[in-house]
Amino acid sequence: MKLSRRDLAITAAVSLATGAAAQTGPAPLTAEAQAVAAKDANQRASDILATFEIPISTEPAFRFQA
Amino acid sequence: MTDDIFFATITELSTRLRKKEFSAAELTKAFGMRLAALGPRYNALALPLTELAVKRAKGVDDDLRRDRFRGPLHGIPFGAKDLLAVAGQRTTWGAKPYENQVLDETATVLSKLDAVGAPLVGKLSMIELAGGPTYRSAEASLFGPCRNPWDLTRWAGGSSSGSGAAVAAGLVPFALGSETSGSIINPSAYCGVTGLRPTYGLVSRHGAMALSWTLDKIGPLCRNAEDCGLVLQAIAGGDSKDPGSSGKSFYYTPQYSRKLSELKAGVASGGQVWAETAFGLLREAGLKTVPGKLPEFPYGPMVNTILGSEAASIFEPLIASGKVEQLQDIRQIERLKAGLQIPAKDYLKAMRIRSLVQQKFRELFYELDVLIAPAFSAIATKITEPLDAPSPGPALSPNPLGALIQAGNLAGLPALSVPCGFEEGMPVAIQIVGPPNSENMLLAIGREFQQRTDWHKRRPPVAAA
Repeated sequence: MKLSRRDLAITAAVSLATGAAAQTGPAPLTAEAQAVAAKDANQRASDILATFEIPISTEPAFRFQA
Repeated sequence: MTDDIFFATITELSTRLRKKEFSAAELTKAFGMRLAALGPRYNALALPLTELAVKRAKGVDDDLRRDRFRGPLHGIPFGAKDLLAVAGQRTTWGAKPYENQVLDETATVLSKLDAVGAPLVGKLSMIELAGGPTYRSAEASLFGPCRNPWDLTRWAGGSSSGSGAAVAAGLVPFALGSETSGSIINPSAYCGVTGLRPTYGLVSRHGAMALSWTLDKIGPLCRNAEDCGLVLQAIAGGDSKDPGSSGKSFYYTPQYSRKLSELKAGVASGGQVWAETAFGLLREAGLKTVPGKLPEFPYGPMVNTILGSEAASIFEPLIASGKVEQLQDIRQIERLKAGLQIPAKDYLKAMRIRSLVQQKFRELFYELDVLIAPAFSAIATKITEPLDAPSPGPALSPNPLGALIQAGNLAGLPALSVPCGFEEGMPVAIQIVGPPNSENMLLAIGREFQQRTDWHKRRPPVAAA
């Protein structure tokens, strides 16, 4: 399996967290294709976040301080 | 002045200024002329400010003549990423829709550097809108693709592209960049300079373009770890104009650093021999190492959701006006637009998980002092290569710290990128990540590493101006 440089650098944890090893090739360089790819990316993120279980008491990090 | 000046550290330049080997005005003029002459070769220069800087430096010289020394940055010229505003000057954010933008207030970090006598010789190029939610190409900049001084056919990295290239090529002694998710660490690693991403909230972002309120940080790119400490001391501190400001200051105190033999690091090389070699050097210096692994969270989807939502909200007027289509990068355009459709439930879920990420990192840092991994697993890409192209090299095993950039940014953790060798003639680097406000410890490890290596002293083949 070939990983893109960006994939290598920044997406390992997605696979770790989801068990998914999905690697999709680059979307064609048209506005329509990129728009579809952007919506797909949001949907994939949404699906992964939805399956990640957290305690009901967890509050968002709104008043964010490191 | 010889070429050595252009690759000298802040401490070396400061010493020579105080010995009156040259004046601050002469030094500033020399760097300003070099930046103006060579900056365009790399597409690194956004706006030359030499005249203003020399005028400022003359005032610095008056102080030096009276033995009024304002600290190690007194008289040291520098460059700043073009997302930082200078009142009355063009601030383009690297993007066509803002190419004629003139703001009326100077960024806090630039005012702070002015107050310690550092003249700003120019603004430096960047990926448009600091990369937005994502981008596809090195060409995604108003200034053209920023070329890497080590190989002009390769990219300098992003989004603080000009900052990395300018420091590497000796066009400025140091530069300011910004990071939302990798934009200081990436160009530092690709260009072979030392870059520091400070703890979230430590450095004011007032006067900087906002990309993501909860992720944006400003930090220095320098010749070595020591210089990063000196610059951070000058730019850190509370600012009521930045709602994310923690109100904390930073004092660079290498004299109080813990010894490496008292520290324990979680490390993972992802199979990179050069990273293993770097870990070995740190072990020889006394650092204890154990296999490092990140807490398991969906870091990628979290960054996608948080950054996507916040960036789309910030640039909603740009999207609504249709001027978003003037951006260079078609992927960024469509990701920005799609960001407006991210449901609130997803943003909230990502922010709730983020609280847990912070908690897990607090627990991790009870056991370990730092995490160390390759800053980037591959060398700089070719300018012509799309960033999502398959890597031509052999497949590598996933690194258990492979998402350290995303995780560190989500948790607001500081990171130091330190050059540690070359692959195919291009720089490679490790990143050292610690708990919030542990910059002095990261810098101490970086300093120790750089006392044992000379990777940070190597110079790219820069032709005369």
